[in-house]
Amino acid sequence: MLFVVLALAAGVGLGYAQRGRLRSFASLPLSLFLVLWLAFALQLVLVYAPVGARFALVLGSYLLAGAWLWWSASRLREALLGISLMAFGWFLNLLVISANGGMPVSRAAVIRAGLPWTDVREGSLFKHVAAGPDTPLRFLCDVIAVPPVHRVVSLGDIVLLLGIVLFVSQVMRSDATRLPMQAAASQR
Amino acid sequence: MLKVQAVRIALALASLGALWAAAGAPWKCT
Repeated sequence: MLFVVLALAAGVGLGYAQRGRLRSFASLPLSLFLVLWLAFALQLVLVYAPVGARFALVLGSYLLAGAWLWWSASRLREALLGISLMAFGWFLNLLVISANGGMPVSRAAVIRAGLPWTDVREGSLFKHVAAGPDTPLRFLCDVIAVPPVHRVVSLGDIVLLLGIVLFVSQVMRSDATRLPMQAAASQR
Repeated sequence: MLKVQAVRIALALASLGALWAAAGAPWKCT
């Protein structure tokens, strides 16, 4: 959660720097986000799922997140650039996960990040596999070590986080009067 | 009203955390 908290903070900072307002978020219908919580719930279920069902659950979770991205792209035109960037990051991760049956983790990157090498199949929400010399799309795997915070991320992760930063700032800058709740309040 | 707005903002931002959990795949020791 560390990275997303930093991305959210950066997005809010960028939004304020561009004279945006956090209250624009209060105008978004909460139902819009429901599918994201469903995708998150699927990831939590992974902990209790039999090993054979884990990959299907990971894919299901990715498809739900993709459905949210597609749906919100059609509803939040003001934040289209941020959504597109998030969707690109989502797609890069989905691509490499589909090709490998999980997100491959580079052993060298894990060591560089200052982490012990363990059985990656058994950790971090059970969506990782060990990367080998023949792993397809290796450049999209978890190969980027971030030693200060002891994490290893993928290119898709970085693009997704940048998309979140942009999305937050774009929603903050969006014309609140055009969003459903503000419009209803102004008519009262 | 302000409290409701604050909760809605927090929920919207937390939902992006849910997106990260669902679509991101960083490795950390757990």
